[in-house]
Amino acid sequence: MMKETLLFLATPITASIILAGMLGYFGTHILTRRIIFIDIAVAQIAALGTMIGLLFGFAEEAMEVQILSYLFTLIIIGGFAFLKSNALPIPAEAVIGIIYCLGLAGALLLAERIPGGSNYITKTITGNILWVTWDKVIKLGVLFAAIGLIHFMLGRKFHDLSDKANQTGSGMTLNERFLNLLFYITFGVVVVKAVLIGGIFLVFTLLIAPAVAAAMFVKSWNGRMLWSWIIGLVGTVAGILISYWLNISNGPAIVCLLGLLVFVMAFVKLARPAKN
Amino acid sequence: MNNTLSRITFVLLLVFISGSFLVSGQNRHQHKHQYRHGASNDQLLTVVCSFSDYASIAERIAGNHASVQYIAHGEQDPHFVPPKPSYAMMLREADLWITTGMDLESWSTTLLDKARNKQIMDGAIGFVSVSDGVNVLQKVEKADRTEGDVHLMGNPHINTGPLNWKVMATNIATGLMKVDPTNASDYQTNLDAFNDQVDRTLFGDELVDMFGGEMLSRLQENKALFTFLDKEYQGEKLTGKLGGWLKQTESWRGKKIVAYHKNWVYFIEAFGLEIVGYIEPKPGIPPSAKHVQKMIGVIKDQDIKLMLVASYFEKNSARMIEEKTGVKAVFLPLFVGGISEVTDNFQLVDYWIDQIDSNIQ
Amino acid sequence: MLFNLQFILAPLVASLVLLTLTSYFGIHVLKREIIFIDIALAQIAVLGSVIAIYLEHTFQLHEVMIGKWNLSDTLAYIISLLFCLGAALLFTFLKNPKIKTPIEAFIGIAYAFATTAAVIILDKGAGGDVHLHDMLAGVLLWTDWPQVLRLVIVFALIGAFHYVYRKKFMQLTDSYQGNALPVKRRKLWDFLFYATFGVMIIESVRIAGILTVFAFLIIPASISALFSTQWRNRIIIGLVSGLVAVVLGLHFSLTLDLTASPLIILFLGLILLIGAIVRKIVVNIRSQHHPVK
Repeated sequence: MMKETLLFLATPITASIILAGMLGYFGTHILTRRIIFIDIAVAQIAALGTMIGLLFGFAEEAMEVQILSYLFTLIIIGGFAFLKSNALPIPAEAVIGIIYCLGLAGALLLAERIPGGSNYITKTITGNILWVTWDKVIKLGVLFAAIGLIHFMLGRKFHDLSDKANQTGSGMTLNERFLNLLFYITFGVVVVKAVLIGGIFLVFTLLIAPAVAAAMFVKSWNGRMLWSWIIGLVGTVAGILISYWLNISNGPAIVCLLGLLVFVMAFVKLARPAKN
Repeated sequence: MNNTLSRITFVLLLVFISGSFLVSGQNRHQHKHQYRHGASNDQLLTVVCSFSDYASIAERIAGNHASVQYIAHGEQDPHFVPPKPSYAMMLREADLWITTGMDLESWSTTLLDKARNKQIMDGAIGFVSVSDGVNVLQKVEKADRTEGDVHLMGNPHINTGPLNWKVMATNIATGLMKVDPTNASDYQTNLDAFNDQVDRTLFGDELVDMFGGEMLSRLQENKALFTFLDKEYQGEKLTGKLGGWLKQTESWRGKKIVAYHKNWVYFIEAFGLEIVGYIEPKPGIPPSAKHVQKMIGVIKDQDIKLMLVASYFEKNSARMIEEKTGVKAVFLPLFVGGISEVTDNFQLVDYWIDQIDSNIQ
Repeated sequence: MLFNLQFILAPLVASLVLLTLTSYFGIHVLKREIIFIDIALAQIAVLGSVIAIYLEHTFQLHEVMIGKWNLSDTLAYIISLLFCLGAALLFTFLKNPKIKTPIEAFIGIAYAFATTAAVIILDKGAGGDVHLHDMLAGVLLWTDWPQVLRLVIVFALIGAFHYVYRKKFMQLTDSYQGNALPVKRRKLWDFLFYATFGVMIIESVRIAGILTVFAFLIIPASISALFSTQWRNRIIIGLVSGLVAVVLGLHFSLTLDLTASPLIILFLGLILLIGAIVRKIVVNIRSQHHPVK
């Protein structure tokens, strides 16, 4: 019985493991760079781009829809970078919040024009993991492997960049700007692809939660990376199994499980005596 | 001082831009209704229906005495129709509101409240509940909402059963006669013609001429038709004289299939199919992994070849089940107009029968 | 035409009432830099009411009355408020220096948790009555006068309270930015701030939905931040911008036949953009006339 269940769940589990692996890696960078909320905004805009593609009548897996999604994501990332350099009396967090807000509002409007659209909003929130097919999983795996390869080769450099990004006032060489751009582009691609399968909140949680949990107890970069992978993987598989036993959707189950884990660990940390 | 300058500029710009928006907005042509007869004659009745199927019947009965509109698109999920302002406007001007009358159109309550049209509220003469008198299937014994059986009054998808059309048409005709007594005889004539057409399309001309549609319908409802047809008449069994849809679907009788949701009960009752399970029994609530797994098991065990899926459902889930079991998912529009070629109820059932026929092997 | 006006009158008044308080609270939100906390709190409050609906269905409480009030309604309110305050408390605790992780991470995770948990519970059984779309965009266009009346009463109470103690609240918020002396009995006033803030959110979200309330809080306040630093002026600018967006949004929701709230939000965004451009141009002109030495 257990074996049958695992076989049945093999596709969703594999998909989530691939997602957790890639996102966990980026998550450590994101946390270091302190650009946390922009991920929700980017994920939402990616979903919005997809919906615009659907509005034009393309099928969900069509190339055009994906291109639109990437386009929008890039515009937002670019726009945000631009805004950061031009000072406004509005805090950066507010700008991100407004982008997220407008993105979601746009999505709600589009949902009314697309047949079956209101379902789509729920899907962008809960994701689609249970219905993923092997060929989608394989395509995802291949894409992420390619990006993973890039990051494996340039890993050290990206690491340095992320550490540096936090220090204000340090200018970047041309080489560094290029690497930064590469980082954000690969990040954008990963987010767009992941949101299509897992939904906005799963992507956000897989990015942030394992990294946060790891960061609370481990100091070294490699240690944090390793632990966020472990936590992400375990959390994902456990989440899917729990979702099966409790009869709830996969994506939300993983989000809630990992979320609870983070808060529990935070309280454990609070309860410990402070180190001098 | 300069802050004031920018503030004033800002406000002026706002006023100017919003002014131009508002002005240009007026030129847009008004919201599109789904008009069937568009004549703007004050003598015409304004009839608003919840679904296109009812509108199609209402058109037939009302003839050129009414302008008939409907709210839910043919390819929309009938349980969840997001309220739009234009719907409330439609209802405001309606003389007659035609709805199922069971709890399918719960979305219409907000619209009716906003429309404030006393004539079409429940109980008034402009309110038509098409399900009155229909032989409702799948009534629930106890009212337990946590089980998720949202349709407490029984299965509301009555439009899928051709025999129900006659009852629906009668209710619509009654409604029309109440609000427009002067044309009552026209409505009666149209009603009779419509019912006759239903009988002949369902049973075939020969049987209708011999026994009359009413008797045949009663037999069909009591599931006694085929026993009756087994009798001999002038040397051959009556089954030889069967025509219409029932003849077309004779080979289906007794076959087992699976349905995505409980949309098809009346259809399969009429044509002898058996549904062994549903993928998404509760409207709007995605099926749990366990349930999907169970259904996949059922499909494999009983060697089910066909899955009926209303076209408003997402294709993903059905495709995944196809992949895992080899069953064929047939996507069918649930209502008239769900695809452009289907313009009335007869064509709808024709389409369903065609599609199922090609895939029932 | 007359019916059109009658159609949007209740929503229009409701939006105006909402804007009066949100233009004010929004300034607090921006100054305290708790932007995402506010959408997290709104979502958590909604989670509370969704749980209440679920409990109501499981234990079939909708018929129970205490005096003239419906128990389930009161229950929903109490649970929402408790959740809201609980979350605010939680976030205060997590600002502890023992935890090196930035608080934004926790807020984001809490927001994700609250949204997905609400969806899970809705799936479990409250699904027939409440839809995700309404949770986010609200039912502004379908507001009726009793709802407006209730909104006016609650908002009048909160508004009066904040007017009477305005100096305290403004000083409290400014002290977070380091612009004012710390307030005596800070914790008490912080609690009162979040309590009134929470009630305002719960009332508003019922009618307008989470996203709209979020937008009403941060966008008018952002617009006003472009042009002024004084509280009174900022409230007025926020109110005026909001009003323009609401009128345009309602008008187009009728002509285009769409839900009102997302349109209003998009117009607010548009006004913000215009404001930013105007300001940029004026600043440029100014720096040309008065070049920095």
